Amino acid sequence: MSQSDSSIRSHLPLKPVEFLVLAVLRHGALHGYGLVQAMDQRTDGQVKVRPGDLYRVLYRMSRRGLVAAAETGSASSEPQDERRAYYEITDFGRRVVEAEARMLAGIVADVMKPTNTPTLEVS
Amino acid sequence: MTKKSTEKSSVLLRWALRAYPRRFREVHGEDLLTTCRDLVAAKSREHKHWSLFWNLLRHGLGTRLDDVRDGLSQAQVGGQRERPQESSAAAVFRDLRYGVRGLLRAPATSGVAILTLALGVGAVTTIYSVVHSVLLQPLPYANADRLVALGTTFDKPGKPGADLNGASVPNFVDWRERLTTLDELTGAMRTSLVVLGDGEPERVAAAGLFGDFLGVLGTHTPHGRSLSVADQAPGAPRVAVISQRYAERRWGEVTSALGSKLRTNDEELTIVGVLPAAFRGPEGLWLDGVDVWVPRAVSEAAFADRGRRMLIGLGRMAPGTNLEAVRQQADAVAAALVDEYPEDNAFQETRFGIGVKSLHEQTVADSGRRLFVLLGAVGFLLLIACANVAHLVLARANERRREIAVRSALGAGRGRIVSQLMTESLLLAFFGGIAGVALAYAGVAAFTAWNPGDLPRLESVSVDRGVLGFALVVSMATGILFGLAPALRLSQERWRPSLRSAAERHRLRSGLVVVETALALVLLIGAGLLGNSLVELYRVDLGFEPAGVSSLILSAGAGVSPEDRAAFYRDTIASVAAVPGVEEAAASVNLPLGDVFWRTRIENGTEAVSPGVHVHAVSPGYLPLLGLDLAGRDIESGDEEGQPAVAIINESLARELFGSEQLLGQHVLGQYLQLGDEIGEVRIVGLVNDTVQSGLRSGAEPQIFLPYAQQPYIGRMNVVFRSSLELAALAGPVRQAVRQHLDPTMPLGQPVGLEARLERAVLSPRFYTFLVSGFAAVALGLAVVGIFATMLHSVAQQRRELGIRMAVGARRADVVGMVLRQALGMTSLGIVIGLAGAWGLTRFLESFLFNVAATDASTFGMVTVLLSLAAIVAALLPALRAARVDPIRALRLE
Repeated sequence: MSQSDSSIRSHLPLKPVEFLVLAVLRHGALHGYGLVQAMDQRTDGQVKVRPGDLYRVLYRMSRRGLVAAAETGSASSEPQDERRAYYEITDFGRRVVEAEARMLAGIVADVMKPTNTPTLEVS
Repeated sequence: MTKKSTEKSSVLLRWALRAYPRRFREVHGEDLLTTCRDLVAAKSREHKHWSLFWNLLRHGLGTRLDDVRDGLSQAQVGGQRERPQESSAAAVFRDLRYGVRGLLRAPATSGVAILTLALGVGAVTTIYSVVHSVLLQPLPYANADRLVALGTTFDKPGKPGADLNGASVPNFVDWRERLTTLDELTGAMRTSLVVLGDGEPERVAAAGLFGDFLGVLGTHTPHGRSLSVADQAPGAPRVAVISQRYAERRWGEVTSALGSKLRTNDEELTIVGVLPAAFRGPEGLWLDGVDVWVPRAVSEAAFADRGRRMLIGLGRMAPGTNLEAVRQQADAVAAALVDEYPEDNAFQETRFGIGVKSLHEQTVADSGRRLFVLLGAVGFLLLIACANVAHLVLARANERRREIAVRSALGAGRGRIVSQLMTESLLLAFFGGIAGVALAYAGVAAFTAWNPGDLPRLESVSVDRGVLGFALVVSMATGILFGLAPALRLSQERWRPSLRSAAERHRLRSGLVVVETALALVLLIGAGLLGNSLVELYRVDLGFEPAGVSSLILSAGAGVSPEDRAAFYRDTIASVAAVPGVEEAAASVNLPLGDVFWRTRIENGTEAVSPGVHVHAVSPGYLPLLGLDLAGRDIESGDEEGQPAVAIINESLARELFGSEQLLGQHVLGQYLQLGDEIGEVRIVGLVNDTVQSGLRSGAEPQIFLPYAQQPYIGRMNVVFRSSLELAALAGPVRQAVRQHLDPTMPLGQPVGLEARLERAVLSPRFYTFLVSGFAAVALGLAVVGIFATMLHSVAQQRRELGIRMAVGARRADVVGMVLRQALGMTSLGIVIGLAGAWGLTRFLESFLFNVAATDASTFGMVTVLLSLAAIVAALLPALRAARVDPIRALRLE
């Protein structure tokens, strides 16, 4: 097992908010407000992240090398804004989120599979 | 959103941002605020600025925690990271380490400070425990907040009655039908049962229940079953539910009690259930201590009589209603019942209302007022303790001025120094708090053991989690209170200890002394007022001689004819009088300082009417036995049924009926009185002095004494005897003498001394007086120590000035006078403030006071003199030390 594999593993499993942030950032750098909106859209409004939570996660993930401050935004539909700081996913972060997704995919597939457990007869 | 609120929001959020560690703020701070502004501007619902504020505060602190966690795990890895700027968590740890080291360096000072705080925190925590359990905790019943107590009130025009009295069964049944705001209304009546068994008959406290009383309280029955409504139907088998305490006392264990029979004078009850050990009848309904609960223990006649008020109601409010709605409906129902049954529900101008109170309010009654006075007293004590600890902290910090100067020269910021000093103060407060909680455990035990007798729910008082939280908050608040001022003052000085800053420090200390003196004065005045009031209570002229008098209550039994009853009491009195050591014996229905069960209206011809005269039925010799002054003749053995009815009245009644002049000439003897309907006409044969009856505070009341042999309605009587022997030695022989005549199925209690009854009457005032006096004494002690320490410090500071003065010819007496004047100057300002405060605050003591005004000038004056003297004594030693200053050495020091 390579050195980087074990260091990727040490970051798993990700917290749901961390996973979402990384998943959104895979498509390009975003500023804080953009992240809140993108996460809202991506989850059909199911996840409404508050700024305090978001920046705590960003701070933590930047210290772990999963995200970094970006020079500019790229995939944002809005015009770029000089006032705002942009965040982008690092290569390492990309590998971590993909590893997490692979792990989750296995679980998701298992949940979706019909089980053999007999159902209760309800008369 | 307006511009103004945007500004407010950004100030708020900028403030909340401080919760994050600095490193975070440097990188993300501005950006986070920008995002917040975006969200607020988007008018999203969940992003109001207050909720954002809390969100940032929470996660800011969370981020700090993350940092600590990361820091710890990094440290375990071996510190590969480059040494970062010190995190705030590490700074806190370092402050704590320095703090503990600092406290240990001066163990005596720290010990005194911790002890002082422990006294304050302990006292406050003790009283708060009582407040918490008595006032704040919900009652231990299901849906306790929906339970209400109902009773009859006696409403006068414009003055509705405040107290709940019993309701008659027919009225109660009407209430039950018409009060739709209650989904349940049940009733109870306290009574007692004589339980017969192998040994002596025993009187036990009992309650007769109407409706599902125990069910409304949410009481479950762990052994057997509870009482059901079916048990109350006429002809149903008679059953009872008993307390676990009684089951264990009588049968040894719960299981053998179940199914057993309880035989009383007139029926046999089957025990169907035993209540949980923790269950207590509601004190507010006079049901505490009840051991036997039976369904409906009332005769059919009493059941139908709308005039016999004996039930107290317990209701549960229907969902969606409140107390106000129940009260409104109750008023309407009461008015209707007055209209329908005026002869039973009204008397002269009094109308019988339906009083509704929450069960909690009914239970707690006015104990809140007493407890808040105590809480105020201990609050003052705690503040004084804080002031004293502030003295100590100032003195300690003063010694460390060099250290602080060095540290700030080396670059420690003001914030670092303040936080270092505050950490020490908070540590002191923390240890003081722990010691205080330990004291509180002892305090609560002492408080409940020395029960003042007028507080409900005392058995539930304990130091629980809520109280511990309170103690923690109080301790930390005191730490901030006594630590902040010295810390700010010292950190400001940095390393320029100029003369000006020394003067400022002295001002701070003097300020503390002023505060302490003022607070101590208020407490001392409170204690003085209570003490004077207690003395007044002891000085009340009883009108009788209680020494050596004891009494024993007994009943001839049911179904005894009036003649037999009179003979029974006559023989019993004679037997008791014959017991060796007994000097005199007699009997009376009522005793002084006890309830009077019989009051009547007295008419003198057609004019004077005395509406509520206490009626006593007594035996020959009772009045002389109590040492009353008797003019005319005593009740005699010939005053029997069939003989002319006679009476002895007291001076108050005579004055009310005949006026004072007649009283002087004793013209009242031989006059005739008309007593209500039951008794009829009596001739006055004697006149006695006034005696205390209802209570020590009630003053002289009109009373009349009738021969017991002429009163056929008498049930229980007190056999009274006087002896110079100890009651303990006499109790056995006296009971034996009574037993010779007493029906063996009737219970017989223990004799009680009259002086013990008197003691009980002053129990509560004595309790509050001693408690507040104790607090005041500690407060005085702390204030004296504060004055002493301040003057000692001030003398040390003024050494040079004193030296110069003495060098140019000041005498020692001048120096002593100067120091004393300084001390008195400080204290007199405190005294003036304290007097003003006491003037405003003592009104809360009014309900405790007897024959003493809340602003009693002599108490205020005496306490002022006492405190001034104490200040002089405290300053004397520093003054003498000042006088010993050697001018040459003092000057050479500079």
